[in-house]
Amino acid sequence: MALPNQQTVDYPSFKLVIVGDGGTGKTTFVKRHLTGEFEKKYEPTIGVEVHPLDFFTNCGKIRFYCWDTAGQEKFGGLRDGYYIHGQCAIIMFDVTARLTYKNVPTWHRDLCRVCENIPIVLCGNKVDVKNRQVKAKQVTFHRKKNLQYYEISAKSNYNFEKPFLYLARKLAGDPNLHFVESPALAPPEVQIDLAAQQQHEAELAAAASQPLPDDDDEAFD
Amino acid sequence: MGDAENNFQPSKKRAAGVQLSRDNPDLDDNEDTSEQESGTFKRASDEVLATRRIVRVRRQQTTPTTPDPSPASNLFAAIRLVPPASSAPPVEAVACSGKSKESEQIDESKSENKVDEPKSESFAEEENTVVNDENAKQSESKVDDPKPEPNAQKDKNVVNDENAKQSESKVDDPKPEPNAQKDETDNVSELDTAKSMVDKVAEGGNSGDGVKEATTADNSVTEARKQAEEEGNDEEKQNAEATAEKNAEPAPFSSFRQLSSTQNAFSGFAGTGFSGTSFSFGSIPKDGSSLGSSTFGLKSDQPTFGFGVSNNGNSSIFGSSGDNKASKSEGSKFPPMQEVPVETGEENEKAVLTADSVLFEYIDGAWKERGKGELKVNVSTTGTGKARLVMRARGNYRLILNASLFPDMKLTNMDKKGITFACVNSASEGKDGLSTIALKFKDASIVEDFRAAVMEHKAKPPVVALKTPENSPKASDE
Repeated sequence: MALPNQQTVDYPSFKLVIVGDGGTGKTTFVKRHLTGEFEKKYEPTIGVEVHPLDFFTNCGKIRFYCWDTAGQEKFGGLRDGYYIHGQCAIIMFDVTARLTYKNVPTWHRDLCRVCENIPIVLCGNKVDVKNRQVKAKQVTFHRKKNLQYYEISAKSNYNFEKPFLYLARKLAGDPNLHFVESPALAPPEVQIDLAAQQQHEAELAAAASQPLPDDDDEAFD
Repeated sequence: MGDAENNFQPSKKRAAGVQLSRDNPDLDDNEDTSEQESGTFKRASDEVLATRRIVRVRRQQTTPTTPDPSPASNLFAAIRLVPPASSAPPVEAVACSGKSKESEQIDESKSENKVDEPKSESFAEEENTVVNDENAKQSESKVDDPKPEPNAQKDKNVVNDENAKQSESKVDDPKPEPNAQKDETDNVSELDTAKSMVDKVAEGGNSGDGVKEATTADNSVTEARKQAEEEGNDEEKQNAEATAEKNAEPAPFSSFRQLSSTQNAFSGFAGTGFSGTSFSFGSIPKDGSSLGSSTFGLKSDQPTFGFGVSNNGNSSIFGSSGDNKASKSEGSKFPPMQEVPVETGEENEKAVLTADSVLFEYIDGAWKERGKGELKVNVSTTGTGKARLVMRARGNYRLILNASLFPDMKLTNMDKKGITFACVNSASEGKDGLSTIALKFKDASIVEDFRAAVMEHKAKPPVVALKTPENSPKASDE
């Protein structure tokens, strides 16, 4: 569950364990949800990173404590020690690297040894890539184990909320649960004086001259 | 061969030529049981039989006291788990049912076990397996360790009522009073038949023969039910009738439904070998029940869930859809989530512009994406004239931009259909000063629309606002 130093919340919260081979995009996926950012740089996770991730649903707010575990064996830390008391899980593989799919059964086995009978989602990440190595119909593991499978892309955001939606439905026991708009409270009336804005001018100018990332022109479909 | 084996028996050693097989397991360790079980070893020498007879007599005494219709198929039939006070009636009941339905021997053997210990799913599963083996070729391979632990059984016994209720939702009164107990036996036998079939179907996968088996299961359900009814009448048990009726009730609306509700109780356990039940009763009640129970507990009658969703994690999608009874049998840490009214915070506002956009924030000399979604320029409808930008990410609806327009707001066009400005984004945590934001739109015309909307609605200094009607929100909304 929550770490000792994490504040508890008065709405339902769940420990979500994210596992999968190194470089499959676990951290990027979590980060995409946390900040909206798409991190291209690969920095292996050491041990585990825990991030609370809130969702608003038609049944109220829920929180996932995302345990983003190291995929690389050498940085594994406590390994399956991180799984304990996991209440749901995501197993991630990379559809452009066949080996990462081959290792899915191992991840699943290790996970199920510690967390029996938890809802698990299998995610094939990077489906935006043109030449994938693992085709959709080659993915069969989830059928044997009764997992939910989603093809996702952390880059294009394709299906990126589906794993959480599935898990939330399972955990709440409500198949009709859906995400709703998070409330936008009235922003505080901040007096932005000219001084502050002028101070900001420089940054604005620099920012304006710097082109926006253009690698997602297909953002609009 | 048999002679040779038995000649060696007194020495308690297995002859070199004798092979262990399924039919004569551990011949050397435990002659008595092996002989009794299989019944094929009848040629022990007389003196051996003489010595052994004492033992056998004892065995035989125990057997009649525990009516066991099918000893071969059911290793656990002899175990009675009913509390001492009410131990006699159930026994009787089982015996009766044994008489009335000889054809359904297997069911009874199962029903016995189920009534006694529906709790231990692994155990139950083994039983199912045995029965399945006899009914059809589908086998589960879990049969190897059929040893019941006494403690577990006691527990099961204690929670017997609850379990019974959970396992077969139709039985309203699971009190172990004699009649009810009997009814349960009957019902369980029905349900179990269905259940074993359903299991088979589930395991059999998606192929056509699954369907066939389903229909078989169907039939056997109805059969079993009929029998139960007859029996109930014969014995003049009102409860039995009541229950039978209850069972019959769902039938018109579909026998399929019956199947699925049956599946509910046990299927989950069977699937993973892990018991949702024991989980919630067990040592980690917090987590366990949050999963198991909420799923058990919450939902009733959700046809939409159907088969589309696998029973991943919490076994009983099927069941949860069918059974109201099952729902309340477990306590849960995670209370049923109730639908709550959704508040967007924009109730008193009107969007004067909405457009798909990508949001960026300038941080440490680089643009970072903050999300894609629908950007709105909202204007208050309460006459305050306040306006703000609101944007949520597509998919998870997370708020990524929430910033008031302000009089001195400057917009700067950028390359690639972008526009940048400074604002105080209260949607981004941990930052309360000005942020440098950029929005990228689909095409340049939207950029201009956005610029126009912001320019029109960015708040005037209050004094000025009075005399410039074209800038007041009311006037501006055409």
